[in-house]
Amino acid sequence: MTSTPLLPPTPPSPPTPSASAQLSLPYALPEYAELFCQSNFSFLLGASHAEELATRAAQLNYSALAVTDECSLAGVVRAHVAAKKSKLPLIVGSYFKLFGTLDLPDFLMKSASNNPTTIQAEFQTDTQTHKQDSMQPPSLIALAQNRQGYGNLSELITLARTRTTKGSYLITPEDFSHPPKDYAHLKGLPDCLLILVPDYPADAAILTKQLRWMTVHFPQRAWISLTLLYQAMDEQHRKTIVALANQYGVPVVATGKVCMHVRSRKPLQDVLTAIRLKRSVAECGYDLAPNAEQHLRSRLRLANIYPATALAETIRIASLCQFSLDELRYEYPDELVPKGYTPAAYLKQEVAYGATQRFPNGISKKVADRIDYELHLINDLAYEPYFLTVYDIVKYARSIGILCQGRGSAANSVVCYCLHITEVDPESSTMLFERFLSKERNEPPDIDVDFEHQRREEVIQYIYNKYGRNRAALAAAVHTFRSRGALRDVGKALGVDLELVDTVAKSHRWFDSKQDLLLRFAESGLDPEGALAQQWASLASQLRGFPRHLSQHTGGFVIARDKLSRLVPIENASMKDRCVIEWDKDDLESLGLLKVDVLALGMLSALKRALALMATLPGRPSRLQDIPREDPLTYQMICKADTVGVFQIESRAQMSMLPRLRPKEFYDLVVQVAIVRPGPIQGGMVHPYLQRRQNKETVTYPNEEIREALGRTLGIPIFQEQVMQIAVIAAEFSPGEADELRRAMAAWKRKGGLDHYHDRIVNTMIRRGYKAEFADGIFQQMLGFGEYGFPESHSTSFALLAYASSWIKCHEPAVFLCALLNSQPLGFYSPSQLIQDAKRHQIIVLDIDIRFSEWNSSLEKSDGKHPAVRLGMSLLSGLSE
Amino acid sequence: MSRHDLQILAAGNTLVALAGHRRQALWQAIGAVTDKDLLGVVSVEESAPMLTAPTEGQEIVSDYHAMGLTLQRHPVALIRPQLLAKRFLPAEMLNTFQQGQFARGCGIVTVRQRPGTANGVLFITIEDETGPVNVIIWPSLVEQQRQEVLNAPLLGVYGIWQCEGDVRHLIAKRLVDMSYLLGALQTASRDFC
Repeated sequence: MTSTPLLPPTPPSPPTPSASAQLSLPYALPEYAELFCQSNFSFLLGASHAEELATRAAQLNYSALAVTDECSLAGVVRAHVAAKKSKLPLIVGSYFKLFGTLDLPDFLMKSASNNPTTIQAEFQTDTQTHKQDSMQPPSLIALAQNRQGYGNLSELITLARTRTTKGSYLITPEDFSHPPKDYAHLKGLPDCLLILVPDYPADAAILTKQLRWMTVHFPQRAWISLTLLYQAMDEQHRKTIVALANQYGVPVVATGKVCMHVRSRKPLQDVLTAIRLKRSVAECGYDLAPNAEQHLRSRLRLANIYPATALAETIRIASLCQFSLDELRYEYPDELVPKGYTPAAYLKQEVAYGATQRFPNGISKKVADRIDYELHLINDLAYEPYFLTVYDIVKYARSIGILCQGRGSAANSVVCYCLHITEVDPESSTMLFERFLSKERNEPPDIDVDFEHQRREEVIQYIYNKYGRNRAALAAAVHTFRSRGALRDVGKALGVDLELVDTVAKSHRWFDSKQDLLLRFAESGLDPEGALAQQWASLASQLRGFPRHLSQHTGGFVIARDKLSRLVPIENASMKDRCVIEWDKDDLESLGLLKVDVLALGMLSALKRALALMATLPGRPSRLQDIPREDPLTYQMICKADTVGVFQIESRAQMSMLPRLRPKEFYDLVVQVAIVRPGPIQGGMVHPYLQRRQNKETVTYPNEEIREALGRTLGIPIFQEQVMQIAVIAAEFSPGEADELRRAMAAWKRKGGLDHYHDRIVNTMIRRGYKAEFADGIFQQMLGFGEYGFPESHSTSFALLAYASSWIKCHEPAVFLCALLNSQPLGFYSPSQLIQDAKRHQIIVLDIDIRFSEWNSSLEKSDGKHPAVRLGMSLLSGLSE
Repeated sequence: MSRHDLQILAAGNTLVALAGHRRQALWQAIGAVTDKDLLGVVSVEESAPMLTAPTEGQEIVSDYHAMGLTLQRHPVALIRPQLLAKRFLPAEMLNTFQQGQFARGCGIVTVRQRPGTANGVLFITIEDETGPVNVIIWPSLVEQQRQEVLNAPLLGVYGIWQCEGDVRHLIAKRLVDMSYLLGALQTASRDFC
């Protein structure tokens, strides 16, 4: 086929007004704030990212921008962050299509008492003269004026979203006139401004009804929007709206019904329309936007088409909406503290009690000081409730015998050790707690807790039951278009033969570049130079990364003291009895909201099973902490890379590193886990570390400070916090700035923005007497860290599990195999490979036999040193338990 | 117990002690549960037919089909003569090779990996009856032999042996899809690419 006529070649985006033009124009151009703008979180409708919209609006010198996704606040945090960066005021709002009919007579009876009788009379004539279809409910934009209004809006979205199935919403005129009992305070949606969005072209009869309804329910807070997009009926549309608006005293406000940040997104908008309607673009006809006007237009263009008063009204509305997402404050749940205690006193008591268990031979002064110091720091930042929340969850899990272990930056502490959140004895490592709870940063601490994967659900249900569903919900995970999906959907939208779409999509792998993609096209018989292939490739790459729907995060819980739905809208997840908030973990982090990670880890299930099996064998440990430490045989096995099935160090990359690093003690394992990560690999840390480790290179430090920071890793920064520490020591960063650097490191691949750090770090270091070579080397290593460096505490927790699983594999390989087989799927290897490996270690593996096998694999007596493993029925595919 | 479950048990060769080899067990499993449909009321008396026992190869194919693994010999052991004829050596023997030696290995692909940090290098692990061999495939070869790299379940690798202490790799120079030797055997690999 030839090129699709509806998709013109991408025109260049309109030029940004030059600096000089901007200087002279403000006198001539009216100010404008866009109040109707949908990002790509209005799924398959918005054709631009929220960030792009905010940035573009700032470039155009808009006075403000409202992001109003359809019954959703999912995109507002991203927009907020981008808008803040470009100093653009952001208004939080949402767009709704109401469902049902404007139930006027009913409404009339309810509100007769507080409304003048003239209106009553009018309604009566109306209902007689007009047909039922003029009762059509309006579409509305609601904008939050302040924190109260934001809470109301968020609750309204929650109401609309939770009463239907995932992905849809239901909102009726009654929700504003007399909402359900639990939502009675939402009557009239207080503290929000409401803009009526008329259909195009406006119908006088319908609009009359809607305007009256608006004036009654939102007196002094109602507007009517006028959207002019250079379409045929614009003049008539404008006249109808202006006339009726004057009649009912509702001001007219200009809106752009924006869904693109620049007009060059029009082809993508058409493709999205086609995907939404499940047709090809060519078959979409009048459903496609007739032109590309739904972008953020220049103020000149707007001034030429809109009445000046309608433009001025946007500024008035913007000035009435003073809410910023920065005002959101998280409040910790408070029921964890018994009556008569302050959170600090209770935490102190629990830590003191835990300390006596952890250190039965008495608490050293060092530890006691450390505990005092940490409690002090926690108290300063008022983070007690967070630690108590995690403590409570972990305590519950332990009480019903679920194995769990904490990690994450804040887990780096004696307090966490005493509360039994972590198993890493802080005395055995050199971690720095304050780096992660710095006073400069107003951000919640981070503790992730891993649970046995098959029993995590019990923990989740515990949280729901304890806090209730209106106070606890899972963070969202934004599911975005991947390469293949984008190729498939764009292909279909372009009307490409389905079989061809399938071939191309299937042959595409995530790592293929655009060049590769054209090659795939050629293989599938398309002309890679042709218009179709070019359009297909470029549209698919634009679509990639667009949000498609919200799903649940793997385990990040947000728990609030009061109603969570006043903080962020909650919707249903596809899983029964689960609900998710509309923000993902990055959004939560941007706003400094707390989340507790309740994660599932397969290896913990396997360890639990192995320990249970070992309890039946004489002289074998039955608790994790009873496993002998620093066992030479175990390290011998690890050095030979004989680690199939072991936690973390079983991957090929890890295995090829083990014989070179030759771990001999626990800390070596901590390094081993951290070093075979994309961060250190890309930063080029691995080779120098190996050289030094094998004594092929002498270790030198520029000075004593650096030795302190890097001494334990032979002068090479391997953990995330070491990089930050160097920035503090050598480049005069404050801890807060170092943390900013950490974030920039995490995001530079996607967003760039490390360049200005380069000069600062390198120059400061040179000025302070470091060699340029060393300074540059450090900076390169920072770049390499990118997204994937482990903090030391994280690595330590993982190394603990790696060691425990290695010990079991080394001493009780049959137990190990049996536990792994019963905890599938986990790790790197399939049951087949695990069994092959066990057989090479002379473990007797017995066939499934109806007479002896249980559902799970089990141990049987054998003549050899180790028991035999009898395979269980669970390995048979398709058998019901 | 449902007929479906009984058949799975029979096909998984779990009924050897009760009903003999796999084919006999399957035959009996089907007959053991009475029909619920049209012929349910008809009683048919028949003597069990003499079914020949499946060959080793057939057993292995059935094992993989039933549970994705076998406790019999490794599938590659059965085709070793054909592989030796093409000078593909077992992993055990390759492990004794010197650095830089030409080497040919062949095995069932168990893992494919293409880490984002490896500049397009693809890592494949192949397994034969004596153990795994780690194969490294450079991006240029990935591009040339994409089909073999991404799809062959039994992969023959012509390459150069690399060893440094206990760390051994086979650097691929040419790949051959040897899957025709597997016949009906269905294997699965874990692909991270």
